[in-house]
Amino acid sequence: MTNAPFEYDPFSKGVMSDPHPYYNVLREQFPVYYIDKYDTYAFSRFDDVVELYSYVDNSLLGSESSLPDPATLLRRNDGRAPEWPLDPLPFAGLLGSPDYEVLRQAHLPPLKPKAVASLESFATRIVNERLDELLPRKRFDLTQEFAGIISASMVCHLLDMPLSMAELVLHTVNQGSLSDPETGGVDIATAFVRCLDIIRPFVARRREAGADGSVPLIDGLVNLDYYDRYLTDDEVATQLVCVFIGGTETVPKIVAHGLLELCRAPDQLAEVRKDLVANVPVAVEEMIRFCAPAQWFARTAHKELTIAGQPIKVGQRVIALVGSAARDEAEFERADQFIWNRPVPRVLSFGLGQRHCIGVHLARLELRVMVREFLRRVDHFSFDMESALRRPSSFQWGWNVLPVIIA
Amino acid sequence: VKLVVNWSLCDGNGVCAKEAPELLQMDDQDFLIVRSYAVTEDLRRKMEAAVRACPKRALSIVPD
Repeated sequence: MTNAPFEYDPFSKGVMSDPHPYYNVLREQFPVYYIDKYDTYAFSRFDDVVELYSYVDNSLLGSESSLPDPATLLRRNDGRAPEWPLDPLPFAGLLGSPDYEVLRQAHLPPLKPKAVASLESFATRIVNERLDELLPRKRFDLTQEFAGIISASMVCHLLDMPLSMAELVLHTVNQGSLSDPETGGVDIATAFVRCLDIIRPFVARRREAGADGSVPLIDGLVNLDYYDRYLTDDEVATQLVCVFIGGTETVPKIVAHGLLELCRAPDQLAEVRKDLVANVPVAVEEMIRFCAPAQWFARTAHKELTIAGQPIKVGQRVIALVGSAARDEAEFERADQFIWNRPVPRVLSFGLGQRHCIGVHLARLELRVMVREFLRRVDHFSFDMESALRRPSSFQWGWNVLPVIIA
Repeated sequence: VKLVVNWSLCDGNGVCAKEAPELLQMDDQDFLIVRSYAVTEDLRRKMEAAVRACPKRALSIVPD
């Protein structure tokens, strides 16, 4: 940051390189920050983000994408909020109730708590098989080669894809979430099409096979009676892109960064190691708070409303700075420190309200299994920070590459 | 006062059932079962905690 007057632009190079100094100023001095060129209000305090997300009455929708690029935000809506035609169905995240919920509920069952818990033995097996391959190498990228492949494999498993496709899934998602280093923003449209091309044949295969419910993530959408019609393969695949991307890109950065924090604090690591089964789930909650890479999500106002006392007009946008909320001292004491066993009674890393992360239970399962099995199998490890990489990003700011060295 | 559930929002996360197990339970497919919509005075605090804890903002307490 410089001595120039304070300015926050989520797509500026400074913010994309390290948003936290900006968040500190926003929370302290400008908790409701208006960005005129985007006609957007940014909310940085924990309680204000909770208030924003608590509107579940179609007041605030992701109708311009929850990750709009700068070009979208530069167009003023002038009192109108975008509406989407429902045939063909767009991605549910662009829609409000009840369409959003109908589509979400159709593929929710395999992501509910008990269904996800039944995946623990599968997850433990593939994590150990992966460690069997990686540990003899003594050095590998903890984000991509370990956690990335595991998360992508879980996505493949849910979509009934061969696990050998995990590398392609991971690569496609990683390419799609790169921010443009000059203009900021993520080219979601191109990423979306590439993901669709991978998913679509597996939807067609399920439909041809009768979609009997044995692959519930796909079958639930194939069998959905949507106002007296069925969804096309393209429409089904479109709804699955969220799980495809979200399930692949977020958890790996938390696993890698979380293990880095434990490595940096040997006393904390020693405490966690005393009882991995009991302590890893506790440490994982702090990893979720401290290391979650998603920085913000946008909504567009479809009704007049008020957040933190600020009136918002129809067509204006708001962004919830979840990355800032996680470091809010009003919610977390010593918020800038990683403390493995701190109480985390509330967390916004998965969002809140209508769009609360559909994969929350799967994410927690993967985090627990990966951290637990890694620590169980590895007694001593360090990191090559010279080769570590954290790319500037307006969206997923986290360790893209984090080489671990096994002693 | 009584409990209102926005059923289309509820994902069956089960967080509420941990806060107020006397009134809220989960079935074997993680669907929420409401034992009573009437919130008695002795359980009001627990129910308010359940409303606060719901990550979907699917619960509210309203006057009778």
